[in-house]
Amino acid sequence: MSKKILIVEDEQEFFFFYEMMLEDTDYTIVHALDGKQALEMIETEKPDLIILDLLLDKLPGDEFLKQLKSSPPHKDIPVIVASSFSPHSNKTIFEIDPDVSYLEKPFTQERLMEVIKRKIE
Amino acid sequence: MDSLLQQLLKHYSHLKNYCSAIAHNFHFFSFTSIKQKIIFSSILLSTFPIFITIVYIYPKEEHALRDALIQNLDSIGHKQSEFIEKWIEERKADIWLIAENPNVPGVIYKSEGSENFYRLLHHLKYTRDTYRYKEIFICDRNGDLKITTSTGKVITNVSGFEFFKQAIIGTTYVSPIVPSVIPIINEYGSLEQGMPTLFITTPVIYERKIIGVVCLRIDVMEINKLMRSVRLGKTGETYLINKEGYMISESKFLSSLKDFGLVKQRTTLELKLIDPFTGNFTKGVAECLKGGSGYDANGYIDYRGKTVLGFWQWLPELEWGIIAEIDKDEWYGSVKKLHKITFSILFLLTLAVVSFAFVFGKKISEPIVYLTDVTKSISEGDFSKRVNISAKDEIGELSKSFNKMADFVEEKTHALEEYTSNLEKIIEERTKDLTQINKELEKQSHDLEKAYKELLTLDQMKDKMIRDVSHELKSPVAQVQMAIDLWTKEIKKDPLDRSKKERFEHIISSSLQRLRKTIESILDLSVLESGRFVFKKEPIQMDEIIHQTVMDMKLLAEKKGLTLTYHSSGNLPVTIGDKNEISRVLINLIDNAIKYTESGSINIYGKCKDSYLEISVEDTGMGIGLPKEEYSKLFERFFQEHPTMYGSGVGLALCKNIVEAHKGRIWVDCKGIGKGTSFKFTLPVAPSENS
Repeated sequence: MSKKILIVEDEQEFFFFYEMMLEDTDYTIVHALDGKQALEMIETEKPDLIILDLLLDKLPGDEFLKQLKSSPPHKDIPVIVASSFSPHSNKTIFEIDPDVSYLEKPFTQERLMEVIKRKIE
Repeated sequence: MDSLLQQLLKHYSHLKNYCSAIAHNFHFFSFTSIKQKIIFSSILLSTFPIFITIVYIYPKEEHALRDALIQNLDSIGHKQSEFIEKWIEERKADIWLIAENPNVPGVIYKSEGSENFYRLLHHLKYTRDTYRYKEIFICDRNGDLKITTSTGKVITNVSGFEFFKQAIIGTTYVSPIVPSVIPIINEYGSLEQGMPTLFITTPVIYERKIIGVVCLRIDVMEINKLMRSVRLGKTGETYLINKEGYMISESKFLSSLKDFGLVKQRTTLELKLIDPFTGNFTKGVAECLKGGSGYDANGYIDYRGKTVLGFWQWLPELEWGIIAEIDKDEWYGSVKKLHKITFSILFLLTLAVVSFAFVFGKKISEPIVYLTDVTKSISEGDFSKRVNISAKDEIGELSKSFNKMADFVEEKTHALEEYTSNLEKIIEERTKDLTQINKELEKQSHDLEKAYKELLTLDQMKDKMIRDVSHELKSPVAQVQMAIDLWTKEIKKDPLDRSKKERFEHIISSSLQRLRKTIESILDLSVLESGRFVFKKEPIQMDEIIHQTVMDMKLLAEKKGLTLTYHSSGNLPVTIGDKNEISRVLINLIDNAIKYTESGSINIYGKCKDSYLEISVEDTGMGIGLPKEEYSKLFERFFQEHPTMYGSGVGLALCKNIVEAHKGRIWVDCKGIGKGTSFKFTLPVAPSENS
């Protein structure tokens, strides 16, 4: 059974890139535009992995991560943070979840696959 | 002495404590005035001698008196005992002389009427009369009377009597005082049977044999004389008792005893010495009968029912007791009288001292009270009061000094009042100044605080701005980079997906455009803020500019399904400024309205208000989520309410800069989230050519 990845991304361009990079894989991808929508989709879609942008409307990425990690049924879903900010300017993310993986934009297809594999396989 | 002094001090300390306790409990003794202090001190001082007298002198005196009494009674008792014993010895000597008389054997052996008989009788009568014996008689071994001085009734044989029995065995015997068995002459000169009588007997020894007995009948009144020979005050007496507790001498109080019916004729052998209240022997008698000697200086009840002080001594040879007694009242009476007199004198003295103290205290305290009242009045602010005491003593001096001081105080107080009044004025002025300064300082402090808070906000904003701007610069670059990477891979595929190609091209193009816009905006703002930008000053027909801009942007709005309309109010007056920059303001506002409106319309209004043109761009978009007081933040550099939307965050800051450079004003109105937004700006109307 293919693994499901929830991509939380407000910029359509980046979502298009994810689609392109993952089209030849077994992964199923679903798309949420902001943190609030993503929390709702976790309940319905039950993803195996979440790729999270930080600069989101309604519920920013760090707040989403906090709520996710404090919710017992979903706190074990692995998360990859993908942002155009450097990981140094987003240290709070690691305080919320030390196991989070960081993917700085721009990234290559290989890099994305490597990180995804490390998280869910 | 030390212990007495200690006792005295202890008593006095108790008295003092008692007085203190009273003083503490009663306001009267709290000594708030000098008069009270003087009176109380005088009472204390004048009662001190009374206290000393009662506590120390009286007991001491009574003690000494008691010692003297004991000594006196003791010596009287002993002296009387000696008298009695000596007297008895003399009687024995008499009887021995008779027994040795050479005529005695002849008389015992021969019958009456011989020569020896008359010689002896003569001698016996002589002895009787000389020593006042009642009777002298001699009897033979059988107790038969051989010779007697008595002419009346006599006992012819005495062999049955104890005094004979004792003498015939060779003892010189002194009999107890007993009632006579034959009538003998009493103290009243008449014959009386049962008269108290005393016998002394001794054996007559002839050729070493006891041939008879000589007997003396002694008048006991002689003993009374002996007893009364020592005087002991009015009520003092010494008397003898026998072993049965009867008096064997005559009481000094015989007549009163007769009156009370306690005795008929005499006390000898009639008066039993008992306490009339208890019926027991009096203490003196009871103690004496025990066989010793002693005294009681505290007093006991005698046979008359009176309290007496007594001395007693038992004479074992005679089996008599001798008792010396004196009424307690007589002995201590004088002392008590002295006590009364002393106490009365001291009491009167105390009364006099207290009266004097009262008068003196009043005299002393009156001027002081007067002075105190005046001082009080002055202290309460009445400086007109002065002391009027003309005495030439220390009080008079004090009054003069006081008046001088009052003058000085009055003068200084007036000066002080004046000074205080001036000072108050100065203080009031200074306070006003200080209040003003304080207010200013408070304002400055408030401003500083506000500035500090703004600075903090600015600092936070700066961080946020750097983050947003960096995102705004990095994000399109990343998109371009990733698009190129993916496209490079994609073109290697066969067949080529053209739709993807177009998508990549669009992404690259729009990202680069976004990047350019952002960089241009930042550069423009930087130039505007530096003050180096020179605005053109040309007449602007605002209607034209609005029309043109709306036309240019209509397509963009319609792409999003929005209507963009200009509602002109007629010809707007000309304004002076930089046409391009004013257009940029309008473009920015309309661009924002399109960006933040999902459906509905965007309406532009232009109107003239007083000397200003007011242009408003109203949309039906999402509105503003900020509180009203923070709306001005929207016009700050790099502020983005929605950082995720495309935009550099400098557009509104640019608008503000341009409008204010044209002496206009820019602001925003919003009725809440989802109720649309209305951005408005004004520009001054150009002055008419006439003006």
